[in-house]
Amino acid sequence: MRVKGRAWKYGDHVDTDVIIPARYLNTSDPAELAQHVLEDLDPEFRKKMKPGDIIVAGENFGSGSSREHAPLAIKASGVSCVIAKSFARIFYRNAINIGLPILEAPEAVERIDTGDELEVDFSKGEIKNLTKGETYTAKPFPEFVMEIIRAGGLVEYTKRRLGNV
Amino acid sequence: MTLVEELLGAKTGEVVVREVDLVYAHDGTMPLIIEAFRRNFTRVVPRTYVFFDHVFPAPTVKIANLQKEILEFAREQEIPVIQGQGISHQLAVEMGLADNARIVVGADSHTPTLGALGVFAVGMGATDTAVVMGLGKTWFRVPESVSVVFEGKPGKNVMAADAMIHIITALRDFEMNYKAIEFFNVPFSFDERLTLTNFSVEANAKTGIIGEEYSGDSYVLELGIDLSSLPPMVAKPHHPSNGVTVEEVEGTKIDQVFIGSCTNGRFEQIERAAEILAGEEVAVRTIIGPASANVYRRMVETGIAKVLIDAGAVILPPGCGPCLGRHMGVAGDGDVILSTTNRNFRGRMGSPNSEIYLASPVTAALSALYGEITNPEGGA
Repeated sequence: MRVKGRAWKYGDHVDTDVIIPARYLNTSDPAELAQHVLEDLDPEFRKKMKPGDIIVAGENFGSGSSREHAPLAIKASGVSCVIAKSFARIFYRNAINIGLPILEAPEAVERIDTGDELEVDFSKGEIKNLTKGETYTAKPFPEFVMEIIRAGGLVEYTKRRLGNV
Repeated sequence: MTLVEELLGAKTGEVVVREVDLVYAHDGTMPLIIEAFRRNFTRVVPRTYVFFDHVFPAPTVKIANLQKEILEFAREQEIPVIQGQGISHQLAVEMGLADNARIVVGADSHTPTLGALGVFAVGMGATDTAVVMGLGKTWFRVPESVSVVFEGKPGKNVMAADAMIHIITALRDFEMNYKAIEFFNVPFSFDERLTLTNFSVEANAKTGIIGEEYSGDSYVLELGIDLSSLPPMVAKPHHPSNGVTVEEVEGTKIDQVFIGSCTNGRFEQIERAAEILAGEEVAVRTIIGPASANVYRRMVETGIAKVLIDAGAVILPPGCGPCLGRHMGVAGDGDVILSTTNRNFRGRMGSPNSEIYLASPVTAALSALYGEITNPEGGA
């Protein structure tokens, strides 16, 4: 699986309150939530981003609340994947569960700047920076996470595996 | 063996499937859970409860309608819905829902509050929770543990919140992701112990648990905290790990004080605030958020409610109140809030142009009297 898009670079601890502020949680409709993604952190993002674009962030992306609205809003906005130095635990599980592609790649995050054109190959765990002519590798997922992804998501995985345990 | 290893019956790093003894969710997280559940399952399997605490009573038509949908689903599945009687974590404790439990899953990031009871309690998102409701079990990776061993007793103006702001700040450069915090030799009362585990989430920990006997092996980090020398603390905007002594930010003007929430809304904590406000008048908007109807009742019966009202404070119905900026004291542009909650991310309580300082009920109450952050150890 491959995605391609422009990078939007942010810092550490991008938390669930800036990904989707609580004042918008009156709805669970992904299309509505997508209108407000990262609004308090970067009002330009929603206006200027194009489908396929990639969020690149520092440590602990998605920290804070368990609200699944956060990865849902990001996915619905058209972001093709999130590359971060590390992800907060609940967000990590939520993103995998709803099918928002994420990758942990500290070296890549250091080198990428907003505006770089990126190409990501998930099966190889490879990130190509077309603007800078560099390639980085991402940390491979633990095997059980790969199983969830291969199964097509958490629900499919659990029905298949846990249903028989 | 760490407490986590004992509770999950497996070694650190292993991935296991375990039955979940108790599942709960609230009016904020249930709508997405219902969607995920309806797509994949028919019957809720484990013991499940729903609490209306985040936006109750409903402030808008949209929310009232979402709550009706939850009630409809709960009726269908025969799940109890407890409306406006308090915050999920507090009620789960008061109702004894985790008695005899080992593993608790809550659709709220502060579910680890229940770790004060010695259970493995974790927060999960909507799809994860729907799976637990549909199957009664799920996968867990056994986290590594960090130990916190207390020494001595806190000074009379120092509370569990001060200890946690200090600990979260001390851990800020340590890789806490996916680790549990295990507390030992805890001298705090029951009400205050819940504050320790509640706050541990803000160190990026997977969960917090209080234990009895400390064995010392298998911990990736051991922290010793001398409570007797700990001063009152404040977490400055915009992160709980931005902790400093109250002395360093004394005099900061504030627009609103909030005393309450699942972090510091228990009877003993509100009582401490009332002792300070008794017979005085607050200088700024002061909002009190009892964590449950039981707390509220005791406040009324003991006369504390009257003390607070006479001081000019506003008492909210039991629930999450303004903690997450949805109702009951939302922060406006430029507002400086002093709060006894556990999270002060930018925009958490409303305007992204507001600032939130976190503190203990003692510091918050004293500051409410002066309209500025005031040091309880200031010799005043």
